Amino acid sequence: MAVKDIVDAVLYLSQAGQVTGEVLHVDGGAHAGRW
Amino acid sequence: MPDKKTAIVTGASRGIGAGLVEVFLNEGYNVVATSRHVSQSLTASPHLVLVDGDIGKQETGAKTVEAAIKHFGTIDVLVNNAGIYRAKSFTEFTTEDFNALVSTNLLGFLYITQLTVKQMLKQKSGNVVTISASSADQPIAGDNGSVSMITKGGLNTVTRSLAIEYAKEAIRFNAVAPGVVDTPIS
Repeated sequence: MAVKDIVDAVLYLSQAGQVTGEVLHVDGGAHAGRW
Repeated sequence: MPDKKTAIVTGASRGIGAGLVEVFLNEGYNVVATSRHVSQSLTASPHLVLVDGDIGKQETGAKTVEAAIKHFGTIDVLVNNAGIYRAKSFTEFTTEDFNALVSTNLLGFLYITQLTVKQMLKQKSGNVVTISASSADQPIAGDNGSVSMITKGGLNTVTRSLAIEYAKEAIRFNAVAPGVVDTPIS
């Protein structure tokens, strides 16, 4: 997980006028289950 | 209404916060950056104002919001990035640990977000992004961040509450939940 990955997500949310109340996981899929 | 948008970034002196300051400046935003000693890490410029202070203190939030309005006129984006993390066995957590986590992670969210929302209500627009943690929803064996996760789970929950409370005023609230280095992709 690089700083850039998180920064990109924040920038996206700053431009996403129809997105609110979202918890955007930037974790390579870790939240989805076991691996 | 000013041409340029303005972003506030907390926890701005290093890591994700410093990266956010750089990218928002590159994207043409004005930025107000705050952390305990941000003026020792970053250099102020016509589009970058620095505010030193503990984000868990109300005065730091007030100074930061006042600086944004005074210098740039609006607050379009607030990124609540300041946060601390403590890991140990659940039975070893102390009151000092708990209070430190609540101060930076929760009061640090509360004070500056309240003041920012007051400004965004005047603008009838705004965007608040809070940095949370992926492990708040999916804990990882051995991480032992239990009490830290009380705060991160709280931030995810308040993000949804505020998204509904302020939807009609066009103020958006989202969270970004970063994972750790070891991921299914890597």
